[in-house]
Amino acid sequence: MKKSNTVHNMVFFYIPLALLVAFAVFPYLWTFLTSIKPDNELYTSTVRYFPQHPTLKNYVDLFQKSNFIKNMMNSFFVASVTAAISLFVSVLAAYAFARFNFKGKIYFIVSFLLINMFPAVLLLTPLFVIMRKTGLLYTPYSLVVAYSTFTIPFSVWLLTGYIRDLPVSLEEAAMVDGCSRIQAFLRITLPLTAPGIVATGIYIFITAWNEFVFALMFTNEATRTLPVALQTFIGQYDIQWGLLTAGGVITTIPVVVLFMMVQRKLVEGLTAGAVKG
Amino acid sequence: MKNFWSKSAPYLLIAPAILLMLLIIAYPIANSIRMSFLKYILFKPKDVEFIGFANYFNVLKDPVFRQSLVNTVLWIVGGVFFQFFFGLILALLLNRSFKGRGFIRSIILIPWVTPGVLIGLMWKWMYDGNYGVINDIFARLHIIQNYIPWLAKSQTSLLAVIITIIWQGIPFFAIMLLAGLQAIPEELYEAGKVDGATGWQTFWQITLPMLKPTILVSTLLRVIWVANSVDVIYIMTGGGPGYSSLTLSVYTYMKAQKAMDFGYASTLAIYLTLILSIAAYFYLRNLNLKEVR
Amino acid sequence: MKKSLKILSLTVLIFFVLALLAGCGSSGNSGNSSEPAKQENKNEVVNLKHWVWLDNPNDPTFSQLVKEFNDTHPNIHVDVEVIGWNDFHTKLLSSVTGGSGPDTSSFKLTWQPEFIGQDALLPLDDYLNEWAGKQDVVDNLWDVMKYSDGKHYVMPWELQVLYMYYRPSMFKAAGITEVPKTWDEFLKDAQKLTKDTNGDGKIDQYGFAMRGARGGHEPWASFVLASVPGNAFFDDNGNCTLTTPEAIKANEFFLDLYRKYKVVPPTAPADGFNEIIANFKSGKAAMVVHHIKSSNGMIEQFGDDVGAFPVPAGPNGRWTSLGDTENVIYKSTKHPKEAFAFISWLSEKEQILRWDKATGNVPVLKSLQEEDYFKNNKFMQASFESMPFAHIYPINENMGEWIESLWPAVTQQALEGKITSEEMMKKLAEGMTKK
Repeated sequence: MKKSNTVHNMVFFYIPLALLVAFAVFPYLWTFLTSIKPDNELYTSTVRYFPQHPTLKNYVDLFQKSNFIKNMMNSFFVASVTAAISLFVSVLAAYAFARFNFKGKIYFIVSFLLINMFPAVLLLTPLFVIMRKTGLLYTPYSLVVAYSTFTIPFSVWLLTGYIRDLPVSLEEAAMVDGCSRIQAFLRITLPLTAPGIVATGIYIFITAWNEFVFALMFTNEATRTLPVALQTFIGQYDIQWGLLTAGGVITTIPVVVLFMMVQRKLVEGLTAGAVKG
Repeated sequence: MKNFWSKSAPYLLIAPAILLMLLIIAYPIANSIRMSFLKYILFKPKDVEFIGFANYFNVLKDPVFRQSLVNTVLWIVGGVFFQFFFGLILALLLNRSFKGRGFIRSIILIPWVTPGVLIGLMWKWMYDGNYGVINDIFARLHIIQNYIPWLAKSQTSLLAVIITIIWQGIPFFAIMLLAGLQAIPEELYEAGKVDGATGWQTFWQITLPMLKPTILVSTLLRVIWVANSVDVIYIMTGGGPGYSSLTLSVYTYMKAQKAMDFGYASTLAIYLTLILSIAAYFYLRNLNLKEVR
Repeated sequence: MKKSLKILSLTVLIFFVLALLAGCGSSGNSGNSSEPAKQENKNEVVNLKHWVWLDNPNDPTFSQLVKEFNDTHPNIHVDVEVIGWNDFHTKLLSSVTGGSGPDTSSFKLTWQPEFIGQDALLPLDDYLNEWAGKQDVVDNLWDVMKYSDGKHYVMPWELQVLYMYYRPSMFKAAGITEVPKTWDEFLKDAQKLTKDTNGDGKIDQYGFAMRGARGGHEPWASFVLASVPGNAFFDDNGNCTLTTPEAIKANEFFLDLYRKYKVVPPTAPADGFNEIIANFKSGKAAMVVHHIKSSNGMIEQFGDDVGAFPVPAGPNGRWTSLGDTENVIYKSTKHPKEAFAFISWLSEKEQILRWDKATGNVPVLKSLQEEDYFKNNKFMQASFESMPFAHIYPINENMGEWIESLWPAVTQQALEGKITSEEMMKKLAEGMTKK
């Protein structure tokens, strides 16, 4: 019995997991291996997996000669403020869409979707003028504002879905017990939607962390975010592969570490305890 | 008073979101719609003129538009379906408890966290037909005899970029669905166990139906995102060879940013939005929006 | 358990509200922090914003130059912003159109219509006539840089000329003693150089690294225009020469390097500059067309085992592409005089010498070309030899799209055999001349 269980586990759990994880991580490993290769090992006639003379020079250069840390702080600031504002606004709206029937509801929620469908590249120039006139241009807030316009619709939809997934009976029960609607929202709905909120927050954070088109236009050297900084390593006649790959390796780390800290919320959430309690 | 409160409550709740959107995005979108009726080349401000629906007819006559439309459908369907498929598997696997789960959950996030510029460049390098690591691995495994110039053949270029976008999007679905799985009450599984359901039956009869709203919404949003994504294709193939991997969004990008033809680009953007909304309409009929549960 | 939930959700809410308030509060502050720039004007210091792209952002030469300029010109302070090449044009054009561009920036001749069309560039003729260095600029350059309205909008800064790099050791191994002088010889040599070097039955070395993706139009024109009488895209009557039988035949020759003779890597249709250089550096290709800016990297890789010669000739002589970077002043600047002081200073002899030594550009000044440093460099020599037949692409408002998307797309279609050489040339001519 136990043995067949192990085989079963191997076939249906460990092997698919290992394959998927390998697929997800391999390009990253490749990026890392590239980043520790000295320049003259980049171009070889046969594929060489491991560098003969690994070097950390690219990382040293990255931190000493470029503004990478500053860029990272900028990205971090923009991504967290965007996530905070978008989540706050979206949770409220999503609750309304999931729990109320009101006139025009369908138009509002569909218009959110339509806004999301429109290619951002065409919104750039008018938004640029708006940012300039409001004095937000070249401040991080121009990015926060611009990102909110596409993270909010997205988050409203996602969160509406998550809230709708929760049985409404739980809230009703609380209201019967004497809670007001707001109390029921704060005590029941919000905690129970925590996994969804965390997932949406991650979505917003990553979107803002990676966004390039707006970041290119709305920042200057002082407020530049990571993707734009990475792009400066690509010259007209030369790609700084070492810096680019080292930068790429470093760029992902803060988000992954951040995620490690919140991922427990995503899964253990509060579901089990709350529903039973 | 109570009645007034409960009637206006939903409006108050959505007001911040609506206001923010209106203030920032309404004018740029309206402006774009206006440009679609103009001959509007950014650097020829003196030549701007109203031309009615001429852009709309010209787009329909444009063979590049037609090819990019076909590519867009393949790109979206192929890309999103497999993102979802593998993302769902990953979500189910990661929902089990095992040692190092938190770590694994975090590192599978990497593709999603990597900036598009880098994704494009790295995958382009890995696909390279002369010294690319993908060819090397396939050759070592004896899957291929000779190196394949993946991005230089119109038969394989679209497939190659689709695989890249699948790679990029799996974590998105994994995380969204993982969150969705948490909303399924434990009791349902316990009830299923009592009834003697197998794992497979549990999946089809409990997990999937309960996950349906999350699946529908996240797929829809991902379709929109993938439809609008430019950087991976632009960097890897530039839409080529020929127009074999050109999607509508890349075409729009090139018309706007490289040709500076904002009239034509706006029209392309409106077509893309229309096509997506029609698709969304049929799709959303599955998701009863008015329903309050 | 329940209590902790309450606390948690409350903290989350409070955090959101605070973040929201903080966001609004500090945005007000940061609005103010951009003010000092204006106030400094009272102290008579003029601030200039200069945008530039650099091939190697780690090389401190440019920022050192600017620092020196600031130190020696106490009334001017130049602020440099380095922007990646890929998006430089996009950001520049959108910012200038949106009313928030720099005072000065580096620039490409081909961008002129887009900026002059919206009246954004400052004509420099009045300043140039006063500039001491004017006579020292390489012959013909002022003609090349004259815009169609007869005015000069750009200050010459960097030059590159495309020529052929080759690997002497590979030539020797293939029994080739002399570099090819004509395209026919080039093909014969390329065929000898295309071979299986390790005996596994697969070709692993190719004669030429062809560039079929974006940017490939420059080496391509060397093949085509060498066959066209007059070596130009337009004849004296203003007709596009690309659809002439000579041009179509020469194009056929170019396409056949991939389709028929297979002397270029099978990846050619997708190869951009990064790939052709990689093909050459990894020993997959024995020849590649590029310019002086790659030479430092090549020497690093191969030492002495890399050489250079001017592109081969066709029945009507040679044509090669002139690469350029200039500096310009935008009309929106409040300080045109100081702006000119800066960009002309960059093009003075000492600065050009330092810049070209650091970056490997061909000097735009005649007096510098005589310096030993440039005379003794074989890649500089190949560049100088190529100067007499170096030209730029026509400058008109169609060329942005032509270069970025039309040329790669139709060339790739023709390489794959989906359209003929003639159809390709028709489309290219159309794209170049459409109104």
